[in-house]
Amino acid sequence: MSVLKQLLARPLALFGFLIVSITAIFALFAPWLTPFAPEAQMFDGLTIEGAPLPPNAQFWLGTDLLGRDLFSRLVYGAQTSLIIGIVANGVAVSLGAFVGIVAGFFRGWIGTILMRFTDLMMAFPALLLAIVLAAIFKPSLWIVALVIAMVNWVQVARVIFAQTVSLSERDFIVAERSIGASSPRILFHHILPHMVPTLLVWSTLGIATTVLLEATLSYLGIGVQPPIPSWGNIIFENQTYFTSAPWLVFVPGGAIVLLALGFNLIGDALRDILDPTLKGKS
Amino acid sequence: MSQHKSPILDVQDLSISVKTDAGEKSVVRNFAYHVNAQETLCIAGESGSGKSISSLAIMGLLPKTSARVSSGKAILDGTDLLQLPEQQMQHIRGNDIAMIFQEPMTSLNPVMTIGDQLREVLRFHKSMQGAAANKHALEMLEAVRLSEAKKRLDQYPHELSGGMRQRVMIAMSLLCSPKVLIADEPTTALDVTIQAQVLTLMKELQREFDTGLILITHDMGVVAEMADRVLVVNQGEMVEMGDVNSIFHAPKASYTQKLISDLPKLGSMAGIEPTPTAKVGQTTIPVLDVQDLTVRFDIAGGLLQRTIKRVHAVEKVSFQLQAGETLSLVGESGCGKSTTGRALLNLVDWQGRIYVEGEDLRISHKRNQLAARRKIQMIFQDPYASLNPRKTVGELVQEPLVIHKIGNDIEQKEKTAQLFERVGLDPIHLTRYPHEFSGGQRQRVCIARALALNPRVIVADESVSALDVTVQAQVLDLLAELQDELGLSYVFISHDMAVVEKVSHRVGVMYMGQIVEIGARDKVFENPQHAYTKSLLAAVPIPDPKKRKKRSLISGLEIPSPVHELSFKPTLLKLVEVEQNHFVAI
Repeated sequence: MSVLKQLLARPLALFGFLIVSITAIFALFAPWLTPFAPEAQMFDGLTIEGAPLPPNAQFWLGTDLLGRDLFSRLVYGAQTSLIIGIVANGVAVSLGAFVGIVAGFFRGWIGTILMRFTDLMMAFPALLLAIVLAAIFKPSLWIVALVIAMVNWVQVARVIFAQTVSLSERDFIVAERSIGASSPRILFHHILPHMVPTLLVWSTLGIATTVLLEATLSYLGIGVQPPIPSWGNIIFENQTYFTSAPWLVFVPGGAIVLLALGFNLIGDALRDILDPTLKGKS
Repeated sequence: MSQHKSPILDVQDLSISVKTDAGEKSVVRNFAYHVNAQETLCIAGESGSGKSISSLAIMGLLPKTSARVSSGKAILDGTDLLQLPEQQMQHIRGNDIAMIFQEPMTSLNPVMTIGDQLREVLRFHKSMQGAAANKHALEMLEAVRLSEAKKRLDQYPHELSGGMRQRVMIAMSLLCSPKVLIADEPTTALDVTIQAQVLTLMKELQREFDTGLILITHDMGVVAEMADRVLVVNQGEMVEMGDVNSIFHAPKASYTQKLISDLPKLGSMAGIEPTPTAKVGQTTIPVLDVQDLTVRFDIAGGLLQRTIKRVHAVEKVSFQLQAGETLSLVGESGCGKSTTGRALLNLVDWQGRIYVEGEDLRISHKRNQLAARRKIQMIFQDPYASLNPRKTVGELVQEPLVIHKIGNDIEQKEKTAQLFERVGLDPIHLTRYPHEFSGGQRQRVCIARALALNPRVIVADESVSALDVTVQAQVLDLLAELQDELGLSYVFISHDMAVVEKVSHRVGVMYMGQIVEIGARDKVFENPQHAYTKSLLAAVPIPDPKKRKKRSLISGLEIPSPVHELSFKPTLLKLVEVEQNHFVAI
């Protein structure tokens, strides 16, 4: 709890925390918070010419090209985007960290195999890989999350690998060996904690890229399937109307930016709070 | 000397403060000193004394975001350097006032050739280009007695040894014949024989170029060798300033007196016979018996990562260690002393035989690795680097007990507190992190950690080299106390001959992976037989300005590389007993 308290004591982190909490509340209580169903195509949601409506008293954020309420879609979309952001990114970061740390610590043939595999994955065009994976599995929210994770873990692995290699050379790791510490102990007790700052940065930065990758996949028809809304597919569905109905792109785009910013601010603060080497520095 | 000359650099009332989370902290308070042409002023002090930061301020190199000059002047040729804008300062730096840094490894640009780096200085300050610049650069390298100077111009820094790199740094700093040269610990990172060469060179060049030298150092031996005048500083205050002889022979301030008296002096143990604190009733089996220890590292290269070369780090080293005895291994970097220590801890792959209290270490490691580890522990050189910064010191000291499953958590915590107290630390501080301790305290934490498993032998690898003199003396006292109390044996690895003389019962001198001389401390120090031992002893700076040695300017005498082709067969040295308990290689 003291970590949370320290977090909330920082104004920027508090701001980030508020953004993330509001998004989470929207996602959790979407049915009660929305005036309309997200898929409902309203007759009065379009002009006589069939153009979407700008924000007004009835439709707070306007309507989209099918006459659906943008606010309701956005709130429901928070569910999808949060799940994708957290699950996909969580899996990617954990997998990348594990591969990187194991390869960096043991090196030898284990390291070579793992890192060459990572390089191979990296050399693959991410989108192509995602398309192939998504084509094999039937697209659903969870499959999309996993596909994104499969694409995103490689960068994390590379960074963590490099850090582990340099850390393993440090004197205190040799000192641990000299008192008889086993490899798993050194790995998880002494090396992993040093990766916390990097992992936090990746976790928070990664959420934005993940949400956007999901949007790309949705656009190609292999992401979250319509009519389920996600922030990404709202943008892509409506981008052709960009000039005549800019709110359809700017509002969900702004939501993605805000959410990424929120996670980022929290991550930044957490990195400082969780770093004991800053303790007592005056 | 030239005291009658007017000062070329006059520093008045210099105060510097740094920004911290808790507001501004003053780190240098009212420094005032001057330096004359051809004169050497040594600024001596321990870490945190403000000796380095004050010279950075003069050079205009203070980190702008975190430190600022709060008052003072630094007058060079009538201009106050501290008031000059950066643009003008750029023309003064390197031209009128130059600086040499401690680490020759990192203060040269690794992706530019030596020649390019020298020519760049000339182009910027003297608008000198082409053949003229090349010629001047070459002359300068010859002036610093760099061997094969012409070839060096086209080489990159990594192709040169530490001593050679420091010569290049000196050449670079003297290219424009500056009026003042500031050298910040220029020889601290170098081996003692190389240090002797570099110091002699600096003195010679100073005369040649008519330069005022400000030498910043923590090493009072270097001060005694080099200084005309000395400024002693401590915690941002000027303690004492005076002529070098009066500082060493009639220090007025109590801090200076302590600094001089705590200094390990070579020859301080002359005539005292080493008596190990062996306990009565102990068996005659040596605690440690090392036979033909050999460590080689393969260097892989090429497309298939095959072994292409081999480092012969340690070659057939043999020695014995009795209970309660301290054996020192001395030698310069790359001689294999540290590798020997690491082999004893099974941290590197080794060949040969090591017996610990009669048991074959290889067999006991196979049988029970943890149990085998308990008997030999290690204290590392850098207490900053050898403690995990993200763990509390309590966790770190308790960790060996956790790993070896000795007692339950409560017993372990008790033992941890006891160990903490034993090494002179307050158990209240167990929940602190390593960075909250000073260097000496951290080394105590490392000692507590090494003691946790009740070892028989402690390998101390340069364990006091990184510490200030006064702290060093305290840590050495602690080690001696523990030896008396617990009958510990130490393998003390060090390059510092004065410290070695103070602590050891027996001394082994290593060169190129082999022991060239080994014997009782008094015999090795008072009657050195091997040429290498002699040169090592002669190179140690004596902290007494009256005993300055006349040194010749030998150019670039370097220890040969231990990297050899795969077919290389090392010539093994044979040790011969020249007198009782004194063996020398022939």
